[in-house]
Amino acid sequence: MKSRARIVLISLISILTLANLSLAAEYPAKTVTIINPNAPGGGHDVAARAFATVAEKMLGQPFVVVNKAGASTMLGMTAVAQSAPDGYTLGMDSTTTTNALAWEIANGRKPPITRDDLLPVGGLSVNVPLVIVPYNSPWKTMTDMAKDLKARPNQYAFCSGGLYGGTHLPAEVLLQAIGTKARHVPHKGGGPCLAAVVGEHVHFSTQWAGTSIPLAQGKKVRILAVQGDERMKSIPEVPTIKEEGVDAEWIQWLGISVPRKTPAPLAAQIKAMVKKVAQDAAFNKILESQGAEARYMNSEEVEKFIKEESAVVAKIYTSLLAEEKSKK
Amino acid sequence: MDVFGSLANGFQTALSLQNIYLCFIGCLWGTMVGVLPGIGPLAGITLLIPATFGLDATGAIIMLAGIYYGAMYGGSTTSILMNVPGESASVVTCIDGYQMTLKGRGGAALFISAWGSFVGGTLSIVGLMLLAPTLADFAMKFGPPEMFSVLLVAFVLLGSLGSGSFFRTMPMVFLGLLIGTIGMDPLTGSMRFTHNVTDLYDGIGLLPVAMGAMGVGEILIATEESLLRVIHKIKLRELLPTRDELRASWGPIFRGSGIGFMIGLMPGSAHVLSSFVSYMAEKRLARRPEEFGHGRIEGVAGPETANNAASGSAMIPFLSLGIPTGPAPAVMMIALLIHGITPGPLFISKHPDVFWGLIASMYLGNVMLIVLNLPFVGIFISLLRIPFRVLFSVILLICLVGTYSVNSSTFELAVLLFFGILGYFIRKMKYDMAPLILAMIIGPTMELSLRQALMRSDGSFSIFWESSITMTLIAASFLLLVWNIYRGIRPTKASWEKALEESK
Repeated sequence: MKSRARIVLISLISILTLANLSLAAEYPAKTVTIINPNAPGGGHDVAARAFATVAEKMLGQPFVVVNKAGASTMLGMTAVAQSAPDGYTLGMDSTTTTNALAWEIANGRKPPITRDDLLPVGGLSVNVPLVIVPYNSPWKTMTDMAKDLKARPNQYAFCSGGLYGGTHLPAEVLLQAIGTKARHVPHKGGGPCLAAVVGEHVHFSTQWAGTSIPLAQGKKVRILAVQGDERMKSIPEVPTIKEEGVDAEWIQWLGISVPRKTPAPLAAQIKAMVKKVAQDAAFNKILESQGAEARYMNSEEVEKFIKEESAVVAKIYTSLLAEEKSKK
Repeated sequence: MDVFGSLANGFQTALSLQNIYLCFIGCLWGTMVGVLPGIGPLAGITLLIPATFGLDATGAIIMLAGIYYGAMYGGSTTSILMNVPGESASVVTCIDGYQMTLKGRGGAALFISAWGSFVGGTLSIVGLMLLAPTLADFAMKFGPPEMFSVLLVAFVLLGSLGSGSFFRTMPMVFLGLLIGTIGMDPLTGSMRFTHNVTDLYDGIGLLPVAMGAMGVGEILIATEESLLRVIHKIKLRELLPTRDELRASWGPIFRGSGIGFMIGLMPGSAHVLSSFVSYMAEKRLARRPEEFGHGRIEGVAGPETANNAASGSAMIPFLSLGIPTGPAPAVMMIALLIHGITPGPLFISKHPDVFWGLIASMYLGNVMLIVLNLPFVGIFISLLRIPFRVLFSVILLICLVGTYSVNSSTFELAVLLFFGILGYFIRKMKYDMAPLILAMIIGPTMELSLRQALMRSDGSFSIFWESSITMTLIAASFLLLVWNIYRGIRPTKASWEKALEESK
């Protein structure tokens, strides 16, 4: 009698779990957590929260943004990579994470995760750096600037929002392309660095469009070139860096990743979900308002992009570190 | 006339029913965020950004700015009542504020702190309104060398912060500097004292240290003494400051407004610095500086005014240039961007409705905040009637939850407890914790600006003599240092000598 009851119970459970599995076809079926590996505020955060708001409306399930900042996104992305591969933990992935991982490797340390632990399920936007100089700078064009920088290495100073960070790398890409050196003055955040350009404490910087364009319109800085692959809609008169004869393209992406172990059918569902949200007009408007360019990339495109940027970043870090060492 | 015309238009915007409501929500939320330790204005604003998606730009910025300046009102509450700094800007308030509570004058401290916040906040809006574009250009000229020299003066002032002597304060200062060096060096990227612990890469957070060393440390000391601490029964009359206290506060409040306003313009940790500089100024000006640290109202009035004044002027670079010089303005800027308004040099002329609406709402918000905060004084004070054996566990819980709420990091909980225990031993040895915490704030920024300046000049120190501001400030700091050392080694009069003098 008892054993029969047990059989019934077991079969009931198995039926119920099977039912659950078939229910999983409707993704998402419960609250989805988006881990933002950065502190509240800032581009990642806005994108994550906008994504959550739009996805919630579209899919009828709550999307919650959790900030897990630290070690330049590595803490948060490690948490993403190690989460259950059930599609209910998403991470805001970006060039910043690529940089952080490359940095660890360049220093001969083993990073807590690698790119192989994360599966990008879609790119949402790209950020394009602009080469800016103080308004009264003698450099009127990118060609002027490149010529002068090359003629007088280490005579000029530039600032960034943080060492080896998002606005330092494009400047290094630029300097390597010109084949020269300049003195780097890291600041704590983009705001203080912009202030240093406006106040003429440094000679140039590479900064994001969102804050630089209004300053240029107010005649506080001048934009010499766009470091992206095409001219920007909001400043059509500014040439791209390639047009000015310097091969120093550099853009930064932002997207969503899940653990690599996520089963393929589920991953396909998540990719479709991300794509759907990424094509929402309101969501793109929010991204664009940050000065970013809404540009959806599918999973394969993102992987290819990451591979390319990883190579460039690794090269820059290695050469910067070698230089640092030779000073000591 | 132009200003008044625009302001009148601004009031028309701000006084719409919806905007009054949003301003109130912002101020209320700001007060709550300020009262709760841990969650600061930054997290408070960020959490409410999604709520602004459905609003217009003016409404959104009115609400978010309300949180920002509202948080500075609330920050002092836990500092005064429990020795737990609600925000980093309120660390200094703990020193005299908590002593006043122990003496039964906590109500007066809260009252004066709210009043000072109101005066400081309002005066700084006047400055913001009249001088924004001019001051923004001035603030941009304020580069790393200038920053360094201001911090140098602040650093030397640290030496005379504690209630003890110069030589009892300095060890704490150096300990704070050491703790401040932990983490990644911002200029070369090399790791200092991190021992491959990933949690240490970004350094040790200020709030867990401050809440641990002051709040948890205080609890340990207090529970050791007695669980049956006697708190004075407070009558309504005793909630209000006495006439003497009021008179003593006027000077600090006005000086605090000026100091806070000027320091708020500087990039970086302006709030913390403003309250600290104001405290030191009051201590220097006081007739009996030795009473500071034992519950002087000036030590609450000045700093609490200054951090409110700083929050007004810290918005100047952001509103008139589109350059956010601190994290909280940066988040507000993002909110404006979401609504399709790009703050920049043309913001005021292109969107006068948003700018003047915001200014008008800030006047309004400050009035709301004082109306909101004064009745709270009574409520908060009645918290002290909770038996201490219950209250101490509540305070401990507040510290733990507050710390965890910032980064959801268990590591920071460990930091909190570690510094709680360290704070206990340090207090037992009759050292003060405040210099340690302030050194932790000033040290890294000072190092950063010194090295930024030197990187700019390729290692030449001449960059510091190039401007007269830097020269003057550096000279002043040397004089102060010499004076401090002299006072430290000067033979003190024996007690009988003092008694003899007094009898004369």
